[in-house]
Amino acid sequence: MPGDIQLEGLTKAFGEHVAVAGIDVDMPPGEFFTLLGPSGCGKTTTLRMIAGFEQPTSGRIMLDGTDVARVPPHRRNVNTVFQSYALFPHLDVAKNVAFGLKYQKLEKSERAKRVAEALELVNLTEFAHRKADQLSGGQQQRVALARALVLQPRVLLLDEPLGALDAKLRKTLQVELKALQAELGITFVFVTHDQEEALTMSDRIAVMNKGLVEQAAPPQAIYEEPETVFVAEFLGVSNLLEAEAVGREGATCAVRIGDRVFRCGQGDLDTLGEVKVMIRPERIVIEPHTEAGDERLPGIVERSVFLGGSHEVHVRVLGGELMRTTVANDGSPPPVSLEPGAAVSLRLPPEALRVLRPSAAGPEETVEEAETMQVRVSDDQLSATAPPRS
Amino acid sequence: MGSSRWTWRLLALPGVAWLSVFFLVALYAVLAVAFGNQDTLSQPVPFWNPLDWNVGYVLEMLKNIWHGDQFLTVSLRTIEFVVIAVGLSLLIGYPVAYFTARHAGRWRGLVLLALILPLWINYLMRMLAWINLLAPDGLGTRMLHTFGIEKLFLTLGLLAEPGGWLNGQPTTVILALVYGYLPFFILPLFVAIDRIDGRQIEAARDLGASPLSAFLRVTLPLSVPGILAGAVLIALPMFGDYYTADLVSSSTQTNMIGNQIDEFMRQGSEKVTGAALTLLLSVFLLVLMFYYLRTTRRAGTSAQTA
Amino acid sequence: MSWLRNPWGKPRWLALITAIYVLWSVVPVLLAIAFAFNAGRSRTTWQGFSTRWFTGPTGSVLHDPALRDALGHTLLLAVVCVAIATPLGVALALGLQRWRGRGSGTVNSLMLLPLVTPEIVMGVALLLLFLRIFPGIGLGTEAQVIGQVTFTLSYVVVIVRGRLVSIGPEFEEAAADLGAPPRDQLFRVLLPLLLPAIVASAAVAFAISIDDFVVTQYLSSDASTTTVSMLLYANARGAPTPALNAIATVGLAITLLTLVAAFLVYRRFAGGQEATSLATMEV
Repeated sequence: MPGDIQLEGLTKAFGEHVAVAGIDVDMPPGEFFTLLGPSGCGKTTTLRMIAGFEQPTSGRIMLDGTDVARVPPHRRNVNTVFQSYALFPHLDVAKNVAFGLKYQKLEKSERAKRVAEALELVNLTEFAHRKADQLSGGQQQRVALARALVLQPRVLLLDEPLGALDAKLRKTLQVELKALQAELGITFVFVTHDQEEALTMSDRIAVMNKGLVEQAAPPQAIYEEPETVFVAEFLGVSNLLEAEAVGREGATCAVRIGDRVFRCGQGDLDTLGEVKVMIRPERIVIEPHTEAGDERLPGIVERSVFLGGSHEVHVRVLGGELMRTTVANDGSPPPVSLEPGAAVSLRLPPEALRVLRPSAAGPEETVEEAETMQVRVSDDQLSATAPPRS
Repeated sequence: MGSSRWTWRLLALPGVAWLSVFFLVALYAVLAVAFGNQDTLSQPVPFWNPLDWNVGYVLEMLKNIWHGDQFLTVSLRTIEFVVIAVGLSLLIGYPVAYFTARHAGRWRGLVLLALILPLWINYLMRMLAWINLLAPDGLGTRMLHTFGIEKLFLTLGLLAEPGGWLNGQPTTVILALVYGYLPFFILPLFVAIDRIDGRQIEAARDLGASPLSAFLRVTLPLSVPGILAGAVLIALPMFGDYYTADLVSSSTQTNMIGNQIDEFMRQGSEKVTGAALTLLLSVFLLVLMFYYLRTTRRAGTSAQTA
Repeated sequence: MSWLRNPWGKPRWLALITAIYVLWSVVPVLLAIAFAFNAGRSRTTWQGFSTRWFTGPTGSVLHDPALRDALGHTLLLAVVCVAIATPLGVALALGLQRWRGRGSGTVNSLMLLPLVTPEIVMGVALLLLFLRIFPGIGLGTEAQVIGQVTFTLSYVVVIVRGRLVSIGPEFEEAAADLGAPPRDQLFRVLLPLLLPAIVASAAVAFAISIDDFVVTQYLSSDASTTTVSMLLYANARGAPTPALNAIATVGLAITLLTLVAAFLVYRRFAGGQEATSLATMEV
């Protein structure tokens, strides 16, 4: 059974405030699709529009080819798992799960069978006659799931369902939910602000910011090939450098950082002018300090943070920016002294350097930028002036 | 869910209709009668059309008040009674509310129960209790005499004669008003004081304030809205009270505005004058009523997370 | 005076004042109740224990027609008042709470107005209403019921609406999501959740009706429309028997039982803290 959703030009404004500013998203059937973004980005509003609790200001919501934007929620073949579960307190678990079956014209025996199956699916068969307030958070969440799935919807919407649970339980349920979706084969639309959760569970992620979709792609692409600064910063740690793109060089784009030239193998290779250049911490190679060498940025180590499995080394480079690099804690001695004050060179391999567009929602001032003073220093002034710390 | 917008409003319709007919129209009837006339049988003839309104009776009354006649005396006396009663209520009520909110500890539930109880006991029964006690041979009279309190009141001029508590004594009326309305004052005050964040007081103490100073500079100012709300809450009905004075005093010397209105409406045949007086009282109280409505509405629209 | 030295000590004088207040508040009523069981005719001198004023052959609540009828009429008014005010109030609360847009503020104020209107103003207004606008109804039982409903309505609305606010919209949304049309959202989900508040507000309306005085008196017509409150008022200063205390006690017992039952129901279904705020009448 299908269950594909297309959002076309979907907009929602609450008076003056525009929560969703015209988005176009394709959610193919049978996928685990995640809407990811910080609070206020419009992801929950989008989900609620798909469910039918909010009416769009304009745009279309195509469910299997039909525009359901004006169809009331009780007539859409879409079911929701709420953030607070919304289990009916006056009914026990079995009656909660059976609630929606009344509208599906089934025989009583068939109804009972489906309820039993749904409870079996979420491992709650022995809790059938408990009341909702006698269950733990995780159990309530499973009842909410069963209640929605028993109706065999084409699409299941989940609004931050794991938000109220502790970290360990959350990890367990992430795996369970993913397995469930794969087993059932229906489309899951999942809303979360937790990027790790999104990366773990999704087949496809739409990163949202200020009512717009920055990028929609599978997790690996989002992480390795972010298209905008916002996406680069929201998922994982990224290092951003101010640069000036000066033109194509074969398969790479040449950029100036300070008075050095680097080659970027990824991103918007045909851009010219002011850009941002991104590289992930784990792709930077720390080497002993040398004056010469392509692809190398000199700097001074500011501090080294021990993270258990690795060290995160903060290096202040000649442009004034703070670069975060990862050095694995694999027992071998580091290639160079990592004490604060040590001079090092950071090698930025072209295949890991990415030229980025600014965010879809407008120029972002990153925290780093706000804190650091951009000082263009030439090579013979290795120590940059200390930036004002807030 | 566009169509359901009107469904909800439709649900409200019967209630709104009821209130409009049996409340708003009733209030309008007061206006129409006050600005109306009296027929040969001394029955009121309401003038429904505002353009026909006869200001005669209302003007009469205003003139009476202006010239310091009967209505002025009654009005002033009412104000005096209410102000003193509210003042006494504050004096007694604040410490009780404060204690219950901040120091009651494990007694809190019990004390709250004791504070809530009088609200649900018939007001007249509570007055009846005092009439029994303050009768010339009553238990209360005897005890007041024994403990010298009667003597004190006699010397202070608050009591006219020994054992004559129920003989037209303003003191008794005021104290009865306090007794009657105090529970309605203490509870909202308790709630207001209870809501004060204890940490603010701790912060004041931490910064060097003594207990008394912390109270005067933090707790008291923060409880002022509660005090005002409570005061308005009891002042409103007190201004219209007639039964308290009627029960604990046999004399017209302690008549309040309510008594006056009651005489006109139920005992005499001066319903027009009665309506006019009611109108004047309402206008006077309008300020208090709207103040209370505003503060209540603000509390009602914000979600109550009890 | 150790509290002077101990900055965290509890001031004992506050406790004293509170204790004195509680005694002053409650004892007179307890005495009045006690004297309802007086064997003699005095309301001020104890003459032994007896239940004659409650159930005795003459002059008791049970057998004296004036007393019995007053009690009966009081209960009649209360029951009819609740029967009308509760559904009306629940509907108004629902409509008001979900009302979006223009008019909601006005309706809200209209609903709150009776709560702050002094009783004598209400009494006069309603008296004139039934004398001059609805002379067909006139004064009497019907008028008394209508008058009582008019101000108990607001109490019902306030209580139910408070509960509505804490319930929130998500249960109805969940119901809709699962396929329930608006009618089922109301009857299968919202009303069951609202039931404790409805019961509580009915009990409150009942208690208020029983104890009401001014409006009931103003709208009464003859002796047959006398209530317990009116009886108390008329006879308090005369030379009555403890039967008056007895009937007041009976009224009190009925009121308290109703309220305790409502409080327990509310607490069982809606949580302790909400029940406490209900009891303290946080408007």
